[in-house]
Amino acid sequence: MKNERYAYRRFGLFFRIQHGLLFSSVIIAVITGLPMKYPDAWLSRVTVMLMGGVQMRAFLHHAAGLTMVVLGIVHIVYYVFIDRRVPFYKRPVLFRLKDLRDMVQHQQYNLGLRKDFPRMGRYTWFEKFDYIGVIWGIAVMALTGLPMLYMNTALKFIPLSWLQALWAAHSDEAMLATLFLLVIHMYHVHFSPERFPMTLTWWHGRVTREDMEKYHPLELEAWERKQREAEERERREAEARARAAAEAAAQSESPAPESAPPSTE
Amino acid sequence: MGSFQQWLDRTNARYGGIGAVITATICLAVLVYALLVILGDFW
Amino acid sequence: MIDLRREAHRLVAATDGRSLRWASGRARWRGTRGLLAVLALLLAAGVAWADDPTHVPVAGGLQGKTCYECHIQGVSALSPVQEHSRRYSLAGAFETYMESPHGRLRQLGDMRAPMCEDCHFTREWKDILPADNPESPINPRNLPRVCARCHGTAMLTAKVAEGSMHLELRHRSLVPGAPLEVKYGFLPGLTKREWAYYIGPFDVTAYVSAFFLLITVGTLGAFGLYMVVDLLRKLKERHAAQDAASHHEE
Repeated sequence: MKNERYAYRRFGLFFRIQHGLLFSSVIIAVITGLPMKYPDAWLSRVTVMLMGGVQMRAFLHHAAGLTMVVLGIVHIVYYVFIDRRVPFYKRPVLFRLKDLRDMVQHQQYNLGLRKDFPRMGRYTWFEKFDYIGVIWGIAVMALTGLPMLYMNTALKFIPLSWLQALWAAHSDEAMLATLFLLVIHMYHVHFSPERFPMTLTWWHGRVTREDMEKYHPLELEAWERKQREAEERERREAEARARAAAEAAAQSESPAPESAPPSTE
Repeated sequence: MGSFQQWLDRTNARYGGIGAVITATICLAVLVYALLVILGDFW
Repeated sequence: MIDLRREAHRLVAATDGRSLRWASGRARWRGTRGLLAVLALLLAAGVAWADDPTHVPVAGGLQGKTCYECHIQGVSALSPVQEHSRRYSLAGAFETYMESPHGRLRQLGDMRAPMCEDCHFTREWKDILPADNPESPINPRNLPRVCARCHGTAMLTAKVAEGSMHLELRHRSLVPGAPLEVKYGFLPGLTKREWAYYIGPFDVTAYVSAFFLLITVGTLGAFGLYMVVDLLRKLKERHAAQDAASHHEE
């Protein structure tokens, strides 16, 4: 490995591909969606012209939206039904009461009211919040966007005034998601002093030991404990094998009793 | 991954503090402006 | 065999003896300048296009007058005609049209999007009739046919009549059906107006907007505060670590 500092792989390839698809489709959806929300802004008209006109804007927006929908479905199906190593309600990314405590302790630590940084596991409370934001965002966008995309069919079941309410929800949630990503997510990965100019974890999936010790000490401890136990088990098995081999060698020299040689399995 | 990551680490060691402050200020300004637009829109 | 040394020396000679690093830097700067020039030109063209006043949709109307001369809300004192429109809930039609999907598309340059006469004044009707007139294209009975002219026959069975293209999406009273007043925002330049339209027994859109406003301002406000405090703390720790490191060296 070229850079040994980044020794801990937190994210595998499938996960990083999902994240890459996610941010690509979100960026495209935002750039093509904002002109529709603020059409009288000069930047909106410039953007639409640069991308090739209103029909292109619509096509790109729908393509990005459908990508997000498919990505969401794949994500849920995989982690709930296909990857069964952990039942989905026990997955580490789900919010627990401990995360609320961590959040409060984190604020207290930042304000100097507390000496110790909260000890967190595989996902910190703000990472889980990011994740919930994505789940909520994609759910709202899909549920409000699909009826608008398939408007003719939707209007057979719901009146036009409900479609206008869906538009309000869609565009308001888009603003919330955009601002949250632009400000809070960008803080955590770009302009936090520990991360400036950027972290490459989304690319190679790795983090340093300092990161693990500060933000995921419980996960690190659990992992190291498992490592130690595995090593211990291997050592004992190796000793047992060596002992058995030594006994077998000793027995082959002296006259062997009628008992069967001990199994080395 | 190697050399770009090392460049990032070097830049962080040298400019991490000031870079963070500048970009955070810009982003907070964007946030405040956006919130004012949203609130003013709604009022 | 490719003689790399000779190639490298040739490149150095071409750059008047300066280093290879300098040469590649110079090439990159020229490329960057060119790219910036192209982007600036595109941006200028876009701004010029966007600023073009002919892109503001203005519909033709009766007797050479444009529709919005009367059917505009405005913020200054209204003319008698506009007062009349307002009393009969016809004012602000232009602004609400601009806020509707058709109006938005029109502003972005889609010439297929309908304007006033496309829905209100068609070939078949030689006049603009109010919605309660059975001959009017905007009568709920006839509306699906009008929409189907562009949106296709699927619209013929759609529930398009229970809604209006002329509903401004955010600035509505939370008391359904109550007349609204012209209001001003709390910051200059961020003024918004309200319209006097009947919006049905339950104004879903207003509640949806209010809910999202709450969670937007709440989430972003809370996290913004967290961000500021976290940033300050991390800067303090960084400063302390650098101080400790420099003391260690001494």
